[in-house]
Amino acid sequence: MSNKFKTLCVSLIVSIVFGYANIALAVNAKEIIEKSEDAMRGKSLTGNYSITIKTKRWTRVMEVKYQENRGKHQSMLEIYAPVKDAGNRFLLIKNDMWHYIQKTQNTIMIAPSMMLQSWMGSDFSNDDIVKESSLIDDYNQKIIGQEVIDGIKCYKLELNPKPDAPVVWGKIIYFARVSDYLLVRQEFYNEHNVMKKFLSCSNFKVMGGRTIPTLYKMEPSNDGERYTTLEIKSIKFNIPIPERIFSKQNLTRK
Amino acid sequence: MKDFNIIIQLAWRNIWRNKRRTVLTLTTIIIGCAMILFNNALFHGGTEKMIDDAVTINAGHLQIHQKGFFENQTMENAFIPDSGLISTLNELKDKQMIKDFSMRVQTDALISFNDTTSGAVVQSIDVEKEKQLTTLHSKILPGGRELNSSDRKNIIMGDTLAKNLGTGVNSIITLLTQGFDGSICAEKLTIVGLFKSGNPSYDQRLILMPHAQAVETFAMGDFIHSIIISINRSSDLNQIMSKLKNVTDASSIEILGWRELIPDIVQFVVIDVSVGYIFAAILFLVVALTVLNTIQMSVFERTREFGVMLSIGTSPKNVFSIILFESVFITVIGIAAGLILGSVICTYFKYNPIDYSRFASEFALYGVYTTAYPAKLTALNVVITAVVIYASSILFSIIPARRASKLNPVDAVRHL
Repeated sequence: MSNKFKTLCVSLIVSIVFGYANIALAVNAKEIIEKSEDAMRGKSLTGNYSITIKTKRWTRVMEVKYQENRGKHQSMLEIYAPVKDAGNRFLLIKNDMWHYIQKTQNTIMIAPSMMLQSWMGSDFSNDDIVKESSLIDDYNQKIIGQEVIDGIKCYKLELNPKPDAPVVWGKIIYFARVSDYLLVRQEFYNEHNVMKKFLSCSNFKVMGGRTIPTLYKMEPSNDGERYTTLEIKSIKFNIPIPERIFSKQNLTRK
Repeated sequence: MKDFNIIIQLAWRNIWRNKRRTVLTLTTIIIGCAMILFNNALFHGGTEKMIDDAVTINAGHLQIHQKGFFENQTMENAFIPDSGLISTLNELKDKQMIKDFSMRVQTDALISFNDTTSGAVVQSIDVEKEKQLTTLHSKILPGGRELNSSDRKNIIMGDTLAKNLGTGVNSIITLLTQGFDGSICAEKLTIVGLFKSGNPSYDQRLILMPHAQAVETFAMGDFIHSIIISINRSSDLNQIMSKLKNVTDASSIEILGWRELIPDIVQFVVIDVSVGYIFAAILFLVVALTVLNTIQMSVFERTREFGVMLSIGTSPKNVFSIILFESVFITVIGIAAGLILGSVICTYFKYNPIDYSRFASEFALYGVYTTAYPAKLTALNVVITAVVIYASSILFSIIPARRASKLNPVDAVRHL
């Protein structure tokens, strides 16, 4: 093989790699996450969800109402069904989370250290449910390529926690649709780079006046027998939510 | 036969001819023998106590679980004990092979008191039965009380856990967890006592709750998480395990002996036992070398005497036998006295265990919470000590005895 040909090959490869990287860099990683979060959560939202927890032994369906004021970092979740669990409420204000227990009629505080524990035995953590940590503020984002997931062309983003961020994941891989940056799949890795669980988003449709994924499925990666799905039944975006909703009085109302 | 009598007589007289030398040798053997006996008894008693403490505090000798529970102690890993298993357990109990058995449920929970919330492990206890099996529930600090069989929504918890929650006896805490059916389980419970076991994994994390209440609170139905079994004789362990394995389905049930239940202690015991062996080996060597030294010296001293004996017709074989019998006499007397002395020391330390409580925190690093170590003398220990000392002493006497028998009489009589 002549030297000339070698040089040609190398320069070709180099230009392809750099050219590809240039295309990828044309959009900013942080922007993708911001747009994706904006689309799925808005400034505020009020939604009704159906949460299904399937484990080896049982399957359980809960109906919940979730309200969130993203700017002020407040959220409130109330369980409506099944009857046995109805009336349990969760309130998050900034970094504090409380759980009102209907049965004993008292409130317990969920310490920040418990934000990553399972929420109600589901595969979602407390943090996943009330969104205390922020993919935008607590992580450094970078685009690492493109991939096709379930036939959808996606940007593949790697999120690495900032040094002081109060998060436990060693890394999050975030797949966002190239067309509108909506989340398709999210993989959670521990500090040893082992995937612990992953979220798949599907049923993209227009709801609350915008296209969003309406079915979220979280699965631990080491266990084929269990998963949790969260399905949006109805949702409204950017409708002002009265301040009293995010209060302890509302949390403990009878 | 006549030769034999003379040999015995000569040997016996020889050892008492130089009293100081004999007494010195005897002392070495006596003290060596007693030390070896004591050393072994101490290691044996200590490891047995460590295991016993670790077993009786909460683990039991045997536990039966849903397969996978021990690795992954979650609510889901529960099972319904079938009637075959229960009747086998009752049968073993009737045969006095097991002391008793008890069922438990166990789950992780959030415990909240005022504004403090902490994670804890809630374990149920069958109050009456656990009295036969474990001791943790009885290690109650003053000011509290043990659970009794009429308690329902009362609990006892580890003192460190209570401290971390800022709570104490007579306070009401809220327990929150997920039930077996997936529902939210919450209960207000009154603390009636705090226990302190010295084992941080219990004191920092554990809550004991009456079994009947736990089954109701956690919506367990007929499911349980473990059966704990206490046995009467540790030698029966394997036999009981195989009996239980015969009546259970190995694909769904795990049966674990204390070796698997408290692996940290078992590892510590392995280290401890090997240290004990090294100590014993050193002591054995010291005793044997002392015997060799004394006999060697006494032969050397009596070179001329042996020369005369050989010159007047004593056969080398008889000279060899005389020296060997000397060491047999000394060793036998020494071992007998040493065993008596050793037994006395062992008995003293059986009732007055060595107290290491000042080093409790160092011990805890190895997962050991036993601080009083009694000596335990076993027949095996006595036999091994006697046999090994005897054998090594005799073995080491062969060298000087051979030397004396091979002396050249002409040179030997001239020896000064």
